[in-house]
Amino acid sequence: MKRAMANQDQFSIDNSAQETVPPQEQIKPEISTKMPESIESIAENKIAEVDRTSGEAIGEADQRLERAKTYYELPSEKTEEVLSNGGFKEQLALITERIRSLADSTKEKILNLIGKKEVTREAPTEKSIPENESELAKEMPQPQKLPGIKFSFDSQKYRRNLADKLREERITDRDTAKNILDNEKKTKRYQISKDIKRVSIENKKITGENNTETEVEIQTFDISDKIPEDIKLYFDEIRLGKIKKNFKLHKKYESGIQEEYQKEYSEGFYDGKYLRKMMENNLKDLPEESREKYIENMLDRDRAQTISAYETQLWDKRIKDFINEITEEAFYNPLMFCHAVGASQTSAKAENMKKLLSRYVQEDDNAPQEEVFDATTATASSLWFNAGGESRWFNPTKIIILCNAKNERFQNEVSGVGFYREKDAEETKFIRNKSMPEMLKLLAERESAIKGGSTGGIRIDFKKEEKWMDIADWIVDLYHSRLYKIATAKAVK
Amino acid sequence: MDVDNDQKNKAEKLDKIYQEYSKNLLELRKQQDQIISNFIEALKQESIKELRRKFETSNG
Repeated sequence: MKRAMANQDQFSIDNSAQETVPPQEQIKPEISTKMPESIESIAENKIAEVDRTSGEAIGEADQRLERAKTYYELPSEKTEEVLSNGGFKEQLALITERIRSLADSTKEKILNLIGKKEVTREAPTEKSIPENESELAKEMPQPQKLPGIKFSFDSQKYRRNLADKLREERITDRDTAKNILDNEKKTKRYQISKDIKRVSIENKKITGENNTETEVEIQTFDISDKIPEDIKLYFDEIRLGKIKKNFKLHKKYESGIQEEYQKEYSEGFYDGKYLRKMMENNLKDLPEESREKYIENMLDRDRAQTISAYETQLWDKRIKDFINEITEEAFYNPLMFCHAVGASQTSAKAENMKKLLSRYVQEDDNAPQEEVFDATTATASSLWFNAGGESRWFNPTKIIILCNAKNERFQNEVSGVGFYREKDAEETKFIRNKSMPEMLKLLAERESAIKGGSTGGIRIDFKKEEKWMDIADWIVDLYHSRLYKIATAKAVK
Repeated sequence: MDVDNDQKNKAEKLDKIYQEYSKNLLELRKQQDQIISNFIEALKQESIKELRRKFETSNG
């Protein structure tokens, strides 16, 4: 195969090692002098190029890693130790996965452009799994799957049809075409088709207390392409918390956070002065040398805890901002009660680390098994809302339920409401037999409870076991890449 | 004519998609390079440590 010549993007690996780095090719398709006959054949060529170049990138990196092992005459066990301690293999595996995702999404874009069906990545073949891993996979419980969701709304098709319709109209009457588009732009379907790839829309009647009937429209969005990489990575870290020590990749992605921390740190976010002063006073009887050693030790520990707490705060904000963004800013709306339900932090074993990259169980049978919550069928007779103060509460493994306090669907089902206060923690006070507006007024007096302060929280009891879907306005299920918007269409009775 | 234009537009879009892919792939290859470079550096440091240890043992 003809390779691109010397390239400015070539990187020096290490001067002391004679690594022959393959030139970073400008990844171009093989140039053909013949014009392809149709757009389909151009697309096919591009797809073949994507397969070729992505495959090469993965294969070459693996080979170079193997070659690099021989540069220094270290005993093989020492080399493996360096490899393992640095997490280099895992880092490369992550890049491999990203290259595969990039190739898949590119092929999907190409196929969508020419109006063919989506690409689904082939499941790994038996041959691609080393024997020991294959055995491990056999022993592992098979992951549960969410019930299949049929995507009844094909936004690509919708937009294509709209374009065709407009094209026809334009020939005869531009004003008509403009009117059609202007009207269409106001519709919900047009808005959805703009930025969400796949969505299902279902209308449903809900029968509440006193036989009240409400018609709701449930929109189910597939947001797998919307979740930013760093959030997915954070998700992995939380989900597989037990193996965090071995998983060093996240450091790379936390660099932004480290920078933010450094800034705060340099501006006096943590200086330890107070703690030092207190300890110096308390330990003044100790000999100076040992006192100093003790204080430094304590300050180090305190500093580490401060960094960790600060990072958690930043991550919490990152997740909250993201949830706010995808829920049309409902998350930060003070009228929205928020409940976070946990998908448990997993029983994944260290051996499963290699499967880290398979983040979404519905897409990969080899992912570690985890408890599956199905947001579409889950029920509750009471829920705690806006409870704050719990570390990493808004992490991506939790399903978030948002209920609008002013929504009649929700209000009709509330039987009692109470709030937790630190001062009288021994007893959670409940207010019953009051109207929802009265309850809200009382809750509003507890600002920290409404806004999710460090210790606040509201417990709401329902008249019966309620489906989340029947009371919520939004359900965010990042774990399954699903977002549900439940809009009240109309009160039937 | 419309059909030709449509084909031309699609071909241009395909090119754009591919260019974007190439750019991203190049970025990921740079990251691969960096990881391998870090690995080699770690091996080098370990090798220096080993040599020092051998030297100290033979002189000690």
